[in-house]
Amino acid sequence: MASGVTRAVDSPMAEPKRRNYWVDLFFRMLKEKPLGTFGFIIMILLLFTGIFADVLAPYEMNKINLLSTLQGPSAAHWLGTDNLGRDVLSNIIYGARVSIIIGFSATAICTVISVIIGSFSALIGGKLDLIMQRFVDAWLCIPGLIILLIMMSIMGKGTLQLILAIGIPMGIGGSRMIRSAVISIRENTYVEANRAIGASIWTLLIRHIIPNIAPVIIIGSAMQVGGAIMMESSLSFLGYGVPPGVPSWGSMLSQEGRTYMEIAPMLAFWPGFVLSLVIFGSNMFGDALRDLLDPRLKGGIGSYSDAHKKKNKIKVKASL
Amino acid sequence: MANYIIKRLFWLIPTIFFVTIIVFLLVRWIPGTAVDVIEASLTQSGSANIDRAAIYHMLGLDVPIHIQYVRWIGGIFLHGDFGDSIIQGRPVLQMIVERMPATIELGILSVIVEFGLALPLGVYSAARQDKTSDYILRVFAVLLIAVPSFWIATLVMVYPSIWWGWSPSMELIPFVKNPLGNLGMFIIPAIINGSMNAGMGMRLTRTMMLEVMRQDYIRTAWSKGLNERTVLVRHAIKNAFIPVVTILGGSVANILGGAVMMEQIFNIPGMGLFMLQSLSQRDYPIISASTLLMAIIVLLVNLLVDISYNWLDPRVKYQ
Repeated sequence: MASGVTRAVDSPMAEPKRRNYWVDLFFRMLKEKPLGTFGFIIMILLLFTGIFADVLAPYEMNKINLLSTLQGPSAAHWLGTDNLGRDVLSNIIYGARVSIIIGFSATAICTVISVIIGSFSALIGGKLDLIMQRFVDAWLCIPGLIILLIMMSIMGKGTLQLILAIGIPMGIGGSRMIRSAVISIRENTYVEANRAIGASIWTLLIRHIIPNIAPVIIIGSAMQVGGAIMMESSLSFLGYGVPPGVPSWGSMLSQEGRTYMEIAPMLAFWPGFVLSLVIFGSNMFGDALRDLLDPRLKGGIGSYSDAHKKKNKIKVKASL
Repeated sequence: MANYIIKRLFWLIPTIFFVTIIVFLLVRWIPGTAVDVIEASLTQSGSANIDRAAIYHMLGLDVPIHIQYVRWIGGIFLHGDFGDSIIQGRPVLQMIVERMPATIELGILSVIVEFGLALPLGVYSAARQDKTSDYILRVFAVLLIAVPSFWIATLVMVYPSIWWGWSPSMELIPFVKNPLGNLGMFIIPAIINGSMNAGMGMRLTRTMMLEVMRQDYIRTAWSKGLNERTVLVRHAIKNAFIPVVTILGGSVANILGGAVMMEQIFNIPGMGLFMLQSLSQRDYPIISASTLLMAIIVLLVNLLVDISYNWLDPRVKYQ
């Protein structure tokens, strides 16, 4: 809010009418963060592809056609076919659906868990905080992939299992960031006032803490979508992910891609390429969001008003 | 300093306690008890009468879970006994020790690659802030983070063999017999595993350099008329690298996790591949022992990183 006011005073280019905060943020991203915009477009495309996979895919999911196996790219099959004659493009499009379902649900679970653990640890403090932090320490020193593999062995293959196995460990790890965010605001007067009037910890959390750490939560979530998709693919690659028959980028890479690499080398290329693109997009979008939302960067380098000054300077130089 | 180390060692105890609880409970939750595995193998070998109760007793599964935990922990910390492999019947520790060198070699090479990329590129990127080369390097760093290591590893397996008929060695070459062949075998997985972790390091190095370059003493160095090289090397780098050391602690867990992937793809007989095999065979003592050992490695590296902070940065005061 404060920056909105100063901006109106500082910058001659600011519009007199105040736009909605999020709309304003969106336009700032378009103007200042070309890579962030690129990432945003990739994420929107991924969502769109996943939701409308049935319409977009040229062939049905897993439609087996043994007459045309391991073909190269052609007009009928843009990215060729695999060992069972399944259209690679269609499977990649359906793979996007698996990725967004798992990516977004796991991130949602992760966010809920990390907010609950992080804020309770910070708000209650004392011994509980100490014990919980040792638990998080312990959790973080076990390599993530190994926890995922063990959890998938416990629960068996499946989409729901993947969501839980990715979301829960990520949430426990992510609670660190939330905890430090809550610690930085818990000494504020409004928290104290709330406690003084006897509000319950849940009221405090939902009405006051969460709105105040919203930027941290949003930035974290944007980054974690890519991480969750990466974990899903890693697990499917190792054969611990989606059940057979469900198209997933990771399992396409490990099964068809590696088995038939001599005959159809491009089978190993496309799933990984799409996966990299999506994770790149999610990272760039998360970065841009962090720069735009992080209150510590407000008014500093990269902020709206500064960028305008810089641009104006460049214009002046150019006109000279 | 000595007090600080003692205090840190003391704080390891609760963390290790939680690690053992997490590992024990997670592994116990895996369905299909070891008894079924043994029963299946006994049935296969032809013995008709199987006394399930006896097997339970033999594996120590006939007592309540907390007593099982205490027995497990007691065995490890009092006798260094991680139990015996259910499938092979050999002591787990011995089997892990056989496979550890490969993972450790891969891990160390990965760390070397990670820092070899992250530090120089991060410094260069910061020195050319907002220039084209900085922009390219920043995109490159995000690419390193985004591109999955298992994809690159798969491509390395696929394309060179098609184009040049070359493929990485699929058998372990012992270091004593053929040091160069051994390094040649490990270097490709290490480059892949290390560079995937270098992205974060590059970004942190760049941020830290920019932070340092804004300090007064750097301005003083510039105004003394020193050239860029001296300012960077003599004044900036030393101060910027200290926080970068801490990412080593964080990346060890990633590198060990990545080693599982690399060992699987490149068929390196290390701890990671061993764990994957044990998971599919439900050989619990091996899974819990190797997970615990990996966690302890990560903890110890983190401890060393924290202690070396003092050695690197005398300004840090320990309480």
